Amino acid sequence: MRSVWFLKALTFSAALLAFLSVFPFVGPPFLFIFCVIFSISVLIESKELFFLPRYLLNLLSLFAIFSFFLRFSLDGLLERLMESLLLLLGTKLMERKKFRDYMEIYAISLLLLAGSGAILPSIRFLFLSLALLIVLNACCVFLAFFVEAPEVRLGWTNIRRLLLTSLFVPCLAFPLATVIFIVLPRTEYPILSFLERPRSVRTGFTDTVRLGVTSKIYEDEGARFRVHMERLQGVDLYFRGIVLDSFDGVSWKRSDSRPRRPPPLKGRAVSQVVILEPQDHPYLFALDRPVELNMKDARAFPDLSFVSLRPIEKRVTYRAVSLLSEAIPASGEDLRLFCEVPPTISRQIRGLAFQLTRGRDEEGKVREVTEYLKKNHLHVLSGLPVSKDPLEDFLFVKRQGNCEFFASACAILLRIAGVPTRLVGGFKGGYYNELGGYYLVTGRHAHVWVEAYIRGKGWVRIDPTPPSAPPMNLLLRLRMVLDTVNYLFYRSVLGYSLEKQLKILDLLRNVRLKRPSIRFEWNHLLRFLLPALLLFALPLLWKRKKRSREEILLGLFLKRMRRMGYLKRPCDGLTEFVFQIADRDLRERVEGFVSAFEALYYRDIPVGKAEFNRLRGLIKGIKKKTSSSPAPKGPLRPR
Amino acid sequence: MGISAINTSNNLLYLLTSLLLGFMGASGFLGKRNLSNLELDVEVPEEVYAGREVPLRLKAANRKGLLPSFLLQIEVNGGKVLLPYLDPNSEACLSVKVVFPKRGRHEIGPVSISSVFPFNFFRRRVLSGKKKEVVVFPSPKPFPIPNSLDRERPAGELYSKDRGVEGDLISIRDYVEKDPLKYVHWKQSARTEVLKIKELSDTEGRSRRIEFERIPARDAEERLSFATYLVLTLMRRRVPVGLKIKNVLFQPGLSEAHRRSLLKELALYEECMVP
Repeated sequence: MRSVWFLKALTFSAALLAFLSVFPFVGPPFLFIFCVIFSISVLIESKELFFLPRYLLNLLSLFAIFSFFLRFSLDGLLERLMESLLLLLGTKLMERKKFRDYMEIYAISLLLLAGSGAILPSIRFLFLSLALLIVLNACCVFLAFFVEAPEVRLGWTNIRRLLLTSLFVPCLAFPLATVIFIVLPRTEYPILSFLERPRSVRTGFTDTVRLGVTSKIYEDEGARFRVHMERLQGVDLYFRGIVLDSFDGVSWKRSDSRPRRPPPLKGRAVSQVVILEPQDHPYLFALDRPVELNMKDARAFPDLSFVSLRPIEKRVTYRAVSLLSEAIPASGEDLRLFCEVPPTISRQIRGLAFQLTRGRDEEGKVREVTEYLKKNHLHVLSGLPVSKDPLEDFLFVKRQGNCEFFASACAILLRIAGVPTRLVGGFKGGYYNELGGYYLVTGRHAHVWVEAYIRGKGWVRIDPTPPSAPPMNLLLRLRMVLDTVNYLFYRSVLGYSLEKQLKILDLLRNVRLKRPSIRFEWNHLLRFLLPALLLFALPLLWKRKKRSREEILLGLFLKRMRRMGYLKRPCDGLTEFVFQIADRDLRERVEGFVSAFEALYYRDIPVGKAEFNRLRGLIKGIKKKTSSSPAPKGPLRPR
Repeated sequence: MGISAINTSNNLLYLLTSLLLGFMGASGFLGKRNLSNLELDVEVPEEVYAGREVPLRLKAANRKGLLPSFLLQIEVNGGKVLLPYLDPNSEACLSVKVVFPKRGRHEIGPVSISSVFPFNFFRRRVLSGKKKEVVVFPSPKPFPIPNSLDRERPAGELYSKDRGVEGDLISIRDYVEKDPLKYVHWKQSARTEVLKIKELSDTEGRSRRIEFERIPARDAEERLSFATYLVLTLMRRRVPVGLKIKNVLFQPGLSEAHRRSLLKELALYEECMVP
């Protein structure tokens, strides 16, 4: 096989990978044109049909470049550039290729890949870039062969050897690239940041709670945020987002948004690193109750909610500290606001509230209302009450609803009973990823609960919604493993910044070299030494396995003979060895094997499997015969 | 790529830049390993004449335990040959044609091994093997041989009737004690059942001596070429040849060693080392 065919196949693979990298960002007409050109090019190359004249292809290339300038606009600039580059790539594929043309194809492929990374940073880029670079590496190796030795026909063995040797480059390059990635200079003020396109926003969590609008809620398993922190045992995991205090009978809104100083809290501190996915509202989430949140352009509110002053159009990371306190002390807010009940609330609801809370203190009222809701109502996501008075419908007609109904009903019943309440929107629970050491919080964890003000304690969390924890099934476990890769990619690659770079530098500066204390530990031996030994032993075993059949047969034969007391000297031929056997029966058998072996060995064709088995049978026959009679003392060197 | 990474602060572009730099570094390392632990030995033919193509035999050995070597371009004294691959712990023989334009002492080597492997972006080169010295004989140029050689034996006469060791057969006689065994005429001995000995004539009688200074030529180089031709042609005809050159006299002889010493003398005539 000529190396050029392999080179062509690899080049088309590289072009295909480059195409796949920009596939989501290119318009359908360009996708179609490229697919047609690609198919034609494959046909032309495989059949070696006529190649289009170079001047015609140059004109097409010019058209591709001009098409970019004709459609020039800052909005979607990179996408347009990718479309033009894709056309250029197609044109290059159709050419009769020389060294320069191959190199141009590889350069355009790399540019397309880089463009896809600039448009949308995701883990997909990592896999595609690794695949493309490995293919380009092989391409360059075969191209070198094509240029230096065009007439050399490589057999499959040599192609395999060449590919294996070329694989040394990525094996060395990846660790080297890791070091380079860490040390490459970075800036905090990029000039071309406008090129980065904001990610599309997903729905799920909203900053208003509106009842009676929809009868069904679709569970969304899309990740909302990840919280890197220790696993909390025995603690209800609530992630606080928005606090809503004003209810108009149908929807809850936030009335007081003036920033004030957060109240002083006491409790166990839990620090977290939150990686928030893009969203269409400014609220930032942290473990309830957050007291500190470190993010540029973030503001705190006295009700312990935090907002970002910039739209969250791409992933953001921030640190937060929460205190696991039982309640939040009042921070000077007007509690009367939290007891307001809309006039549209029916008499029946008011009656229920009085009935449940009559003669009880604040804590008793909270307990009664919560228990009433949990006992008499179902937590569902479909068949939700849809009416003009959804709360009444929920309490007395349908008796089922989602967390918004439970929380709203609880808050209103308590407000009627004179207990100040507010709704807190956020997320409850999350999947803990043992591998990554973080909680994955998805859309299905979105939740609304109530905070009631108990005199002497402060704002206490009340969750009237019956629990419905999703089981951790196999699919979910698999998803967690995949999510770990995504998470690690974000933390180590996408989230790497000048700040982290400086931290590493600082860490290295403070490293004090100490005299190592050497202590022998069996654990380490088993963990590192054994795998290392195995690693070295495997090639040896492989080499041993790769002995030819002739060598194996000879080895088996000599071993049998040695056991019977006949040792072949290195200077003896097999026939001479046979003559030195005194026992006639044995000699005849050995002679049978030796003549059969020599007939096969000297014909200069490798021994087949059937022949190998036949000869092995002959060797076994020698053993059987001698096992019944005692071994004679050989004339040479008896054992 | 690096500039766009810095200007956009896009970590994926940083990643791609790092990967490309990593590949560049790794390819440099592999390129260096490709040329390391290689041994080259050049075998020079015993007789090399100026201006004539001579095949040098190259023996290349890859002493690496794991890695093969690819696309080795071996260059020696202007001759080039490509070795596409050389397995680990293996040897390969190849030949390269070289022309030495001038007579005299020449250096062979050092042998340059270069390769574009793995990426054909750079050509890496190493010098291998020790320098060897070769004496290039003058290029033989036809010169009329004196007819006296043929005239001397118009009807198969002998050059000399004196007994010698390597001339024509004069007679066959019985074996006498202490006769060398190599003169035993085995055929006659078998036929007569008595050991017979061949008696050969002396060759001195027809030997020739080349008087270098007396060869008519335009210049010394042409004279050397004529002399070389004479030495080669006469000795091919089994005529013992002697040489008188610059007051140095070589007695006539027929052996290979004698021939080479004459040619070497001619090659080094008023000659210094040719770089």
